[in-house]
Amino acid sequence: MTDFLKSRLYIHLHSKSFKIFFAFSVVWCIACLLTVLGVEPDKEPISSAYGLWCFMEFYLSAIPVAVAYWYGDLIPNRFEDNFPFKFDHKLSFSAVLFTMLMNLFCVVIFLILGIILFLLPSKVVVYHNDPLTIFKISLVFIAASFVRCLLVIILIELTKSRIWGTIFAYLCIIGVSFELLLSIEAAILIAAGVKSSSFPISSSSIYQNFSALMPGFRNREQWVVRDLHADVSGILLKMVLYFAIAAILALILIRRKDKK
Amino acid sequence: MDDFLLQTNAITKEFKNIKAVDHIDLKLKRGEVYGLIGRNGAGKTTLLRMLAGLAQPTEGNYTLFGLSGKKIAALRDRVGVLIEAPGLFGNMNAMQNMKVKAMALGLKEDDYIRELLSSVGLSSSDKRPVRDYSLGMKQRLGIAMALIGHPDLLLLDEPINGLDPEGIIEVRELLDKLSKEQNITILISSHILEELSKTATRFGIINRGRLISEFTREELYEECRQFIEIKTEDIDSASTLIERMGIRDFKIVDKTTLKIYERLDAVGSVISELENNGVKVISVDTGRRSLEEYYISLVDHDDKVTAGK
Repeated sequence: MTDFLKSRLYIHLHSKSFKIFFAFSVVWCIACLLTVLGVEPDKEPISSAYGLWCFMEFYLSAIPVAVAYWYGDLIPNRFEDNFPFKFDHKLSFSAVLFTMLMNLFCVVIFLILGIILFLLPSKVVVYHNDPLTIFKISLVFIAASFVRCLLVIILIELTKSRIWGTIFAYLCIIGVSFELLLSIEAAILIAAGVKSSSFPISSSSIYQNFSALMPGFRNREQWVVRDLHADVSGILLKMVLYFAIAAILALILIRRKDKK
Repeated sequence: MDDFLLQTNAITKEFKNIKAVDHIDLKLKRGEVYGLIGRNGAGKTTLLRMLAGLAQPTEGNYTLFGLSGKKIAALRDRVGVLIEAPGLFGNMNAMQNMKVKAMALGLKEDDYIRELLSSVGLSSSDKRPVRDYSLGMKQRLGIAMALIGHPDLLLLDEPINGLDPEGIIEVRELLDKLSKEQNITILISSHILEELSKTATRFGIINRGRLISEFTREELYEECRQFIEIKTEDIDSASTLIERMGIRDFKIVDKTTLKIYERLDAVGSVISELENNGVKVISVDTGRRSLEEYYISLVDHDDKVTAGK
């Protein structure tokens, strides 16, 4: 498995998608830094949580495309066919693991950048948040990113197409297909005989989940976040459950594909 | 331990009630080059995909190096595969493509990769992306990739497909070298018997998913050997006279034609004997049945038998 992961990393480091993602990340980081350092001095003071959010917003937006390449690098060119005996699923499972590891790596990098932003002496940012609040938000970011990764993997396997998988995932993630996801979720719950639920699967993978945590983000008057008006532990637990369900579904789909 | 490196047992693959591969029993000895011949859609690729573990049989099974079932996955680096066109990263060069597979198999030696590239006539210092390669170069790179890990068995599906004559010769020479110098067992498929006859030592004809005939290279050449073709108005008398002359290896082709496969150096005496006995000879010709004709005759016969069922 380790050898497959190394091989996938080598492929990714030599791919166009890596260069594009890297270039856009650099541009985004520079833009954020310039904002914090006072390019817009008339702007209202913002909290570091918002600064962090700026970084993560880019990352979370880019995830569907990035995941599609991390996961599907071997799909379009039939490179997988160079490796015999797929029925042990190692090659396919290494794609899932590689995606998760790359996501973890990127999340850590973006969090470090966020912390650097937090530490920089700024002309426009006034830091009001306590570390615990930021930590909680970071946890939700990380959990959301993993949930999104699996959503893209599942959709790629269902559509058998990296491009369609990415498009559908992107539509879901930015909220265009939010109602569709909600209705599917509701249909599943009704079919299962559940009359009421506090387990919004769909909201675990869209911006709304984060937006709901930030009061200032809703009324645009108060940028400072001192407290999160939500049960962060509950949200995280639901995300873990959702992740587990999605992981099982993804692995079932992969095993079925390898057995054909 | 038996001598067979690969053995299939009624291996079958069915797609929506269509049997792409139908109960094939195939045995490959160590070191032999086995040519699998069949027209497009005969089931060659499906069979090779199953043997490479890229598809699962719906019925039957196979053993490889004495192992069967999921245990075969441990042999990943002992089997090299090239199914149809090689799966390559067009943006990478040959060396980088090779490295990807080598890394996946846990191999790190760059020198070994350079050697492999050199053995197929490609340069490790060529920095061009492989999308700029010719079809022949891509096929050779595909074979080089299949060779990573010192495999004992190569499964090659139509490796000469789309190659120009020079490319075909290059691939043929490479396979000869691998078979003779490294004693690699090769299962190679093609729809061109003529080309495979120069490489393979044993052949199997696959038609409608079934293995309809197997023969050695010697048997193939025996079938496709030289003959005398005699056209006459009295085929019955001619065949009787030929038998009386002690010729046993001949065949009546149609109402006016027969072919003699022995005593080719005594054409004159055969013709004289026929004419002296009142059998009028219209024409005499010498020829050789082509490998393709032989292949087509086998397939046509199978098609007729199948249609008659």
